[in-house]
Amino acid sequence: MEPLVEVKELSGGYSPRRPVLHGLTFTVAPGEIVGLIGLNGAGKSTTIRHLLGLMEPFEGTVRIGGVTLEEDAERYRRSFAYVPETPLLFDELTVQEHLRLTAMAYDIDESTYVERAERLLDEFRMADKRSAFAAHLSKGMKQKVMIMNALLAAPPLYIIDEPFLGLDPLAMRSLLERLNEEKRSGSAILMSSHILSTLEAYCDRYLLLHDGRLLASGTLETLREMAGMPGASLERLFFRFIAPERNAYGS
Amino acid sequence: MEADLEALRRKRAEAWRKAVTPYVRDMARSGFPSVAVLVALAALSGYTAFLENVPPGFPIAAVGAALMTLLLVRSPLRTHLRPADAVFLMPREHEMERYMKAARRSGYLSGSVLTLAVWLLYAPLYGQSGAPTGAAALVPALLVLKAANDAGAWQERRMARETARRLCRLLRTALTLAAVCALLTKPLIAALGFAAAAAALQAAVCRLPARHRFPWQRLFDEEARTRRRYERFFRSFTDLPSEAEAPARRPYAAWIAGYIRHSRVNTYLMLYTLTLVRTDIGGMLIRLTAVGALAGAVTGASGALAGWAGALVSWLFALAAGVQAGTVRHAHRHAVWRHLYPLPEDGRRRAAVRVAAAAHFAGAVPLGLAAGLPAALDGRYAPALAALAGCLALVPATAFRLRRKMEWEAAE
Repeated sequence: MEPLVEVKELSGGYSPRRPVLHGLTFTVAPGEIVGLIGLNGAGKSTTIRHLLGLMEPFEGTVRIGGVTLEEDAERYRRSFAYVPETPLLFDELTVQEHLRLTAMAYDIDESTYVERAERLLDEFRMADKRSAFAAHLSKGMKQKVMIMNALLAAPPLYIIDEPFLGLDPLAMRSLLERLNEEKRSGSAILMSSHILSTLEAYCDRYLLLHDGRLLASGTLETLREMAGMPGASLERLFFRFIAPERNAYGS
Repeated sequence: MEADLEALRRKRAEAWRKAVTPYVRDMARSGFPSVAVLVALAALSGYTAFLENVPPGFPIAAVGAALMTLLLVRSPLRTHLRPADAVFLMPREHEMERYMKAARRSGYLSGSVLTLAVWLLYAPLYGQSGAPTGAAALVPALLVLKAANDAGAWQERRMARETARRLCRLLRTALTLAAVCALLTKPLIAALGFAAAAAALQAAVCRLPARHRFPWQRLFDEEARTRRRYERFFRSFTDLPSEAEAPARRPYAAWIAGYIRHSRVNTYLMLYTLTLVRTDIGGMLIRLTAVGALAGAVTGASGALAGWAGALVSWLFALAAGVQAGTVRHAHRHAVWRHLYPLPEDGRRRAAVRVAAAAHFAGAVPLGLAAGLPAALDGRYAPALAALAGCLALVPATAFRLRRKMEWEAAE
């Protein structure tokens, strides 16, 4: 199957003299959830910014949906929806207007928009907030709006950065259920998070970044084999890979 | 320990002054001060002429009382507090008196200077009212009233309930108005007695509602509002990053966005329509149109310059409305979604121009009509038609200029 995301030898960052990412190579295929994990400053957000096309690679290529941003910007952008770590909303728009704006931007017809918007408002318990300005929402609600916007667009790929910050347990469950549903329908999900237990329960593969390098990647079983820790949890594997000398969690 | 809080406020005030200095320079270079001085000189000359021939029965005391009350009741406070202080200064709440003392002193000084300046201007008119007390003798009383109002305003800031705060402010305004009226019309001793009783009543009432020990949130909000006001002012002269401002719902205008066809090409059109309507861009446009329409109507009805003065006023305001509507192009310039939405960038520019032109048209029509109709009713058809036609002609001209400007900015 053709990968939806294809990153080859990506080096990038803010200054070519001090690159943050060093030769990253990975793929994300349709119908899988990939967890992007690493310590603070490992390069997760920089990787995501490169995928979004907000940063120019110093070396290497990023393809989404088979094209680079330069080759076909519209197709590239249409292939994904993004949920940022910090909600980025238009203060003067209501929740409903955000959904409509996304529907228009992603060329979703009006009847589909209405149907999807109602379902999402209901699922994320935001129906009574549909007319509230983004500026007046709590942080968790803002995050819900971001997630609802991404799900409304129903793109082939979701790029999700720390989606659980500020979310209540019900919203977390709704999000994870919906992501599983999207996965089953063939969408790919690249999700960065520090909540390793949740990632372990939902992700098919992991990309473990450390100091801008891909330290390990693969399924949980692959990581266990690499670490020589059969049956270990993702959290134990994480510490084993990141700080083997401390071995804080035992072998 | 308290001294460093005083120093902190001083440091913040100094940092603020330094930060706005470049914008003050931009404002000075724009020619705005010259226009302001010209307007002030013209107003002063008109006032001097008025003083020489005050109509009999002119309500001198009422005008003075209204003016002075406005200045006395207004009690702005520059605290330079920011939301982060909830973390860093809140644990030192018991020491905040020193910090606030400096803020109050500065607020009192600037408020008193303004009050005295206006009193100085009003004094010659007051002298003609035949009042029992001289203008100079009332200065100490006004300064004490200012201090009492500042103290009252502080107590209102501490009130936990918004309704109680509003009611106390209303009471303070009414009592100040009554006290100033007494000072301007009654013998000094009696008036002072009344003012003291009013102050005591206000102080007693202020003690009734539940109050915060220190109104952190209100002071954060007030400071943010003050900063936004300065920003809005300076943004008229220079490119200034804006702090988030609270949107206004404005349903009487926002309904238009609901009628924008659901289509990909209209995405930015909807965004910019709602941005213009709900942010201060639209608020200022509405105020500008209202003031311009009133000025145009009054000037047009006066028949000055054979009716052409009204047309001139309407053109000036229509021009200003066009510039104001055009500022919508600055909105969302730095939004990340601009790079993420699968939409072409030139669509964003086209939408901004369309929304600005539509808003300009919506302002130009009432401006042209307000100035033109009184002239037409007086039988001066040429200036009446010219007022409307001129205002409308400015719309495509401004839109063309805006499009060029945005293309130039994009090329930059």
